[in-house]
Amino acid sequence: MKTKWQPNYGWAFAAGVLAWVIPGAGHVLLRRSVRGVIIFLCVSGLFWGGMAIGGVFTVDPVREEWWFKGQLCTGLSGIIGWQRQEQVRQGITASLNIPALPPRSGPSRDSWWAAYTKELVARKLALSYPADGVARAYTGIAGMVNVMCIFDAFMLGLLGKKGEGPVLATDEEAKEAVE
Amino acid sequence: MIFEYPMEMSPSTALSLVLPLCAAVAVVYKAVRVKTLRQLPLQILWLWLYIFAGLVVLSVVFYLLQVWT
Repeated sequence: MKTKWQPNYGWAFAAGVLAWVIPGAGHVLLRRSVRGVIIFLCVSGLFWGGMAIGGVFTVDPVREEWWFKGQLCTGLSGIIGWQRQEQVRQGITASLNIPALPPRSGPSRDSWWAAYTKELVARKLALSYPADGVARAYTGIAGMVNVMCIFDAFMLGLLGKKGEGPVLATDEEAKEAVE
Repeated sequence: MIFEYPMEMSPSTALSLVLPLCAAVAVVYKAVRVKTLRQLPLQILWLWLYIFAGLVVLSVVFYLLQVWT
């Protein structure tokens, strides 16, 4: 006798969180190790390839907020890139005697950006065309493809599916699961 | 120093870096989608060519739009 399918929230949550922290780890947890290793190599390779092209200011929450949100989807890699950038930015702003973050509005905001950008250029840390686009596309798209992997790991966990093979063996099984 | 300073590159080098980007996207997408791992290499190759062909067509269309308008 077949038992009614129950969603497995514990596995889904664990696989989803792991897939975010270390790309591919969610699939490894679900015993899809080959796929997990492939995902890890591609997502991390894309992210760190982008970081190698663009340098420490590729991840830049102050200037490139939307790219930054995508980059954070790579999990630990994104956090490491962000923290390193914070370290360097705070070092620069401290040496210029200006606040660590730009003021929200007013003329002091313009002067903050002028002084900060001038110092970035002087230290040869500022990204310029075309490396800026390539670096941010690599790191941001790494995050976007990892979102797809997180979703896949979450859904596989929800179905309680571990190991290789079809997610649901037959069409009848799939219909039962939906019902 | 790598990971610290940005690299200098020409626009043609930047354009050529689209190829590995498309390849990585194709590999990850197919690693998630294929039913059996045996299908993976061929499926990746087809998707990579498909994405690349799509980009070529788009670039030609935008180039022609730019020339004619």
